[in-house]
Amino acid sequence: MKQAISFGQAVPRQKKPRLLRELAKNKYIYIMLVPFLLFYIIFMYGPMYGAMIAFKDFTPKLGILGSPWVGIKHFEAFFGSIYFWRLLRNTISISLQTLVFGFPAPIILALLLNEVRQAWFKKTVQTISYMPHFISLVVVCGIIKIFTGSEGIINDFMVQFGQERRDLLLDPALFQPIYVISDIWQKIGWESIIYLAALSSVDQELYEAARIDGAGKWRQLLSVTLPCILPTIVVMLILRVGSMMNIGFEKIILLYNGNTYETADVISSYVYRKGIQEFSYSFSTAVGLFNSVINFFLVLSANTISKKVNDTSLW
Amino acid sequence: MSWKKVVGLGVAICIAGTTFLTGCTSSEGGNTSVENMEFPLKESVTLTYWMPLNASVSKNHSNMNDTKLYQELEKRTGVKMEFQHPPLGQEKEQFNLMVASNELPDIYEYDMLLYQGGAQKALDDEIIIPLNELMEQYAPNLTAVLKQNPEWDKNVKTDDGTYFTFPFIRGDDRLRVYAGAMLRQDWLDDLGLSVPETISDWETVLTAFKEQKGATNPLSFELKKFKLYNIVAGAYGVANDMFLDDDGTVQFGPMMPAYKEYLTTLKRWYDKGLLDRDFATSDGAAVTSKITTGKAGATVGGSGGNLGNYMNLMKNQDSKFNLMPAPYPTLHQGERPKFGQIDPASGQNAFISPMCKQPELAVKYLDYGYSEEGHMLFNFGIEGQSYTMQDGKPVYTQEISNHPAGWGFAESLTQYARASSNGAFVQDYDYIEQYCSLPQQQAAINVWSDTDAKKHAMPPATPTTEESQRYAQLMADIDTYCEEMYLKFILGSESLDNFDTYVQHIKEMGIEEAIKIQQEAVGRYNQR
Amino acid sequence: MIKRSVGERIFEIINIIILTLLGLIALYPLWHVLMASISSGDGLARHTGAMFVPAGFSLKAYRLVLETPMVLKGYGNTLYILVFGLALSMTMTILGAFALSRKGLYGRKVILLFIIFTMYFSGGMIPFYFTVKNVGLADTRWALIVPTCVNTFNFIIMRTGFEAIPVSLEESAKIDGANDFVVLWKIILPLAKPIIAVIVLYYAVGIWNSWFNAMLFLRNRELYPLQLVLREILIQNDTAAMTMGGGDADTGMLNEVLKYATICVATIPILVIYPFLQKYFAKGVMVGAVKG
Repeated sequence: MKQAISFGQAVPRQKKPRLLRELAKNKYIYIMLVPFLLFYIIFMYGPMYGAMIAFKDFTPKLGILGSPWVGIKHFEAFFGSIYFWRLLRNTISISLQTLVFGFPAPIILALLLNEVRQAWFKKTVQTISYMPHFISLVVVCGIIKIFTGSEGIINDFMVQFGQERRDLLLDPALFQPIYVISDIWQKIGWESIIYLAALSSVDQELYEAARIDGAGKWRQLLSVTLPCILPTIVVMLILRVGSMMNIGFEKIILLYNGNTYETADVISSYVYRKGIQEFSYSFSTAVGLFNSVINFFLVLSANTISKKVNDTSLW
Repeated sequence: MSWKKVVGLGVAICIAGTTFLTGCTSSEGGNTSVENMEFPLKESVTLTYWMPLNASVSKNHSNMNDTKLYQELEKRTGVKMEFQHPPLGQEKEQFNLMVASNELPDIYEYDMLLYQGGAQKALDDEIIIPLNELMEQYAPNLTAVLKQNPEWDKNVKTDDGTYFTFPFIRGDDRLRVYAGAMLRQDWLDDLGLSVPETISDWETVLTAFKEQKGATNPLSFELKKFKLYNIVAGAYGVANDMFLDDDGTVQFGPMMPAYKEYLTTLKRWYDKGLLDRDFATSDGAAVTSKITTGKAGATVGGSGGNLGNYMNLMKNQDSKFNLMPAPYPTLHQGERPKFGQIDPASGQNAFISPMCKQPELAVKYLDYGYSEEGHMLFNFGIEGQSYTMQDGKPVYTQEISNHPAGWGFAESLTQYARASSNGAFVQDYDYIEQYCSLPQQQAAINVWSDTDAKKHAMPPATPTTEESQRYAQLMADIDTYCEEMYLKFILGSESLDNFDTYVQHIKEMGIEEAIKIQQEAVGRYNQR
Repeated sequence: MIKRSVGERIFEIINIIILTLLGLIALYPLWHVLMASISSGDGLARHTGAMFVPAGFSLKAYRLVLETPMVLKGYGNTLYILVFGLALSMTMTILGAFALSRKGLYGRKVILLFIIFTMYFSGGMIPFYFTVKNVGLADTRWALIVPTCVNTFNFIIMRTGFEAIPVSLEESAKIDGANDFVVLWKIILPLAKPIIAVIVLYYAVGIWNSWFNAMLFLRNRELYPLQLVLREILIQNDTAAMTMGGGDADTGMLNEVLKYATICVATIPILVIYPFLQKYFAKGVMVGAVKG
C-alpha cells in the first residue's frame, strides 16, 4: 500500500499540460466523468442558489429570488442569543467526546474480529453488532430511558451499593456520558464494516513474512495491519472531523430536559425548538450555513495536515 | 348584490389568480354557470381539495373519495372532488412547497397557525381569498350560524372583519373540554378518602397512596400535559404560559409571585416522593405502565387516550380498578377553578385559494356542511346505514359502535362522518356522548368543564405579521429559560430563594414587549 | 500449522469473551423490539423495565400492519427503487471513483474539491424540489432514484479503496493495450470486491430507509415507498392519541405494539442483506493477484 502511494507520486507530471493533449490521452477517463459531473452540476449545484435565503426573509409565496434581502439579520439573531456560547460549548464538547471515544471503537472492534479464527463466530458477531444501527432513534432512546430510569437496571445495580434510586437523565453531569456511550453502542458495528473490508484486503503474505521475522501478534498489528488500513482510517477521520458541528437534534431532544439543558442543549436542538415557534427557513438556513463553513474549514485543515504527515488526502 | 356583480367578482379573483398561475388545477371546460348552481348539479364539475388525511381514515383508505361520506356528498351535490393528501406528519413541508411552486388546489384544509405570520399574512400573500361577499350570496347556512353565535363569529374573521375560512365549530362547550386529572377511585374507597378538591386534599391523598397503597410514584404524568392544562398551577391563580387575569389583562404566569408558591408546592411533593421521580423524562408509555401496575395512583390526560385507554387495559386484569376524573384543584375549599383545558369554540378549517376558477361553487359546496342535512351527514353519516333516529336523537348503528371486523369506534365512524376529527361543520354534542361511552368518561366531561378556563384562556387573536415574528423571536429564548428553571427549582438544583433573580432575568429577555404584543392583539380581538 | 504460544491462546479466549459480551449488548435493542412486537397490547402497556420475553403473546399487530393495503404496494415500490437505484448508484459511483482515482489526471484536484464542497453546502429543500420538477421527474419513482444517485461519502470511500490497489497491475494491462474501461472491468473491480460490497450495503440501506424525498416529490400515494407508508402508520397512532382528547381508547393499547411490529416489518428484510455480502470480506482476496 505504501508502495502504491509513493509510486503514484513518482508519476512524472508535465509542468503545464495542455488541456487538449490531456483530454486525448485520458479520453475514456473523461468520458466516465461526464455523467458523474453532470449529476453534481444539475442536482447539487443547480439548487445551490437556495443558500441565499440565509440572508433573506424567506416567504414561500415570494419564492427564494423574490423574498427581501435582510443582510446578516439571522446571523445576528443567532450569535446574539444568550445561549450562543452554551450551545457552541456543548456542541463541541459532545462532538469531541464522540470523536475521541467513538472513532477508535469500531477500529478496535474490527481488529478484534479480525483475530477470531472461528468463521461462524466472527460472522455472527459481525452481523449482530451492526443491528442497533437499524433500530430507529425513538426506540433506542426509549430503551435508554428504560435503563437509566429510577426503576431501571442501572439503578437496580446501584442500589446494591447503597445509592438512592434516581432518574439518571436528570443529572446534568451524566447527560454527555450517556449520550456518548449510547452513541458508540448504536454505531460501533455499522462503522466497523468499512474497516473489516479494508482488513480483508491486507495481503496475507505480509503476515507470513512478519512471522518468519519472529514478530508476535502485537508486532504484526503495529507493523503490518495498521499501516495497511491506515489510509482508510485517515480518510474516515478527516470526514469525521469535517462533521464536528453536526449533532443530530433528534436524539438530543428525545433525551434532554430542562434540568440538563446546560450540558445537553446543542445548536441543532436549539434551531429545532426555534423552528417550531418561528417556522423560519431563513434562520435555520443561516445556522446551517454557519455550521457548514466551520465544518468545511475543519475538513480543509484536516486534509492539509494529513497530506503533510502521511500522504493520504481526500483530494 | 346583482348576479353580474358576483360574476364580476369571481372573474376578478380568477384574474388575480392567473397572474401566478402555472398549472391550473380547476375543472377543465364545462364551467357551470352561476345561475343553475342548484345541488345536485346537472353536469358534474370537478374541484381539487387538499386535505391532511385523518389517521383513522388512512388506516383503510388512501383517498377520501373511498369513504362513504364523500361518495354520498358527491351524490348530493354533483361536485366531484379530486383529493390530494400529504403524507402524515409532513403537512407543513408539502404545504410550503405548494405555495412556493404556485400549485395550490381549489380548496384546502390547513392549520394556518403554521404558516409564518398566520392567517392575516396568508390573506396578504394572496394564498387564500377573502370570503365576505361570496358568503353573503352563496353561504346562507354558515352566515346564519355565525349570526346566531357571536362568540363563534369572532374567532373566524380578522381584526378588520374579513372572513377567510370555513370553520370547524364545536357546537357545545362540553365538546371543548377533554382533559384533566384522574385518580384511583377504588383506592380512595379503600382508604375512606373522598375525591380531592384542594391542594392540601391532594397532598393527603397522594401521601396515603404512597404509604398505604405502595404507589412508589403516586402522581405520574407527561410533563407537557401537566403544564399545558395548568393542573396544579391553576390553584395558585397562574398558568404556565400567557393567560388573561380577572380584568382581562395579559399576564405571563412563570414570572408572577404566585408562581413561586406553586413551585414550592411541587418541590415539596417531589422531595416527599409524591411526584413521579421520573416526571421530567416520562413519556406516555412510561406513565401507562406506572398507572396500570399500581406504581402510580393519579395522572393527567385526556378522556379517550388516557382515561378510556387505562380502563380498557385493566378491564380483564383487575375488575376493581377504577379511575375517576378529579376536578381541577383549588387552593381553598369551595373555590371555582380558574384554569383548565379548553379548546376554542371555533377554529379555522377550510380555505379557498385564488386559483379556484369557480369560487362560488366552492363556497356553496363548503356551506353544505352547515345546513341541516349537512350537519347530520358530517356528524352521523347516512341515516339507516350509520345511524338511526331514536326518540328524536341520532344513534349510531352497530356498524359504527361495534364494527363486525373489530374496527375501533373512530375508525368505523370516519367512513361515514367527520365528527371524531374536524371539518367544515358544527360538531354535535350527541356524538361525544356515544363516542366516550364509559361512565367515567361521561363524568369527566362534566367534572372537567366546571371551571372558569374560558375566561382566562388566551383567545385566538391575530397578531400582525411583524408582531408574530417578533413575539416568536422573544419567546424562543424565554420559553427555554423558563423550562430550564422550572425543573431546576423543583429538583432543587436551583434554590427558590433566587426566584427574584429569575424574574429579573425574564424581564431582561424582553418579556414585557412580548406581553404588550399579546395585549394589543387581544385588545383588537375584543373590539371585533 | 503454526504453533500458537500460551499468550496468544489467552488472548484468543479473552477476545472471544469480549466479543460475546459486545454481541449480547448489541443484540439487546433488536431483541427488545422483537419481543415487544409479539407482545399483547395490554401486556406491553403494563410491562416495566428491560424485556427478555414477550409480555403476553399476540401477533395481532403484525396482522394489522400487513393487512394495511398500502404496505404491500410500499414493498413493491421500494423493491423497484432498490433494484434500479442500486444499479444506477453503483455505476455512477464506480465510474466517478475510478476516474478520480487516476493519479495525475488533469483537473483532478479541482474536481474533487468541487465534489466535496457539496457535502457541506446545499441549496435546501425548496430549490431541490424545483430542480427535480424541472427535470421532469416529479411524481415518478425515478425522482427517488436519480437526484440522489451519488452519495459523496460513499464515493470517497470507494475512491480510497480504488487508490489502494497497486498501480503495477494496471500498468501491465495497459501495456497489453487495454483501454480504461477494460482496466476497470477486468482488474480493478475484481480486486475491489470488499469495498464494493461495503458500498452496495451502504447504498442499499440508504435507499431502503429513505422517505423524505418521497414526501417531497410524490403526490400519488400509490407510489409511496415502504418507509413512508410505515412512517404514516407510526405517526397516525401517535397523533390519534393526541387529537380529540386522546382519540380511540380501543386501539390505544395496541399502539405501542404496533410501533414495534412496524419497525420489524421495516427492518428485518434489509438486515438479511448483510450476511450475503459478508463473504466478500473474507481474508486474502488479494492473495495471488498482487503477486505479480
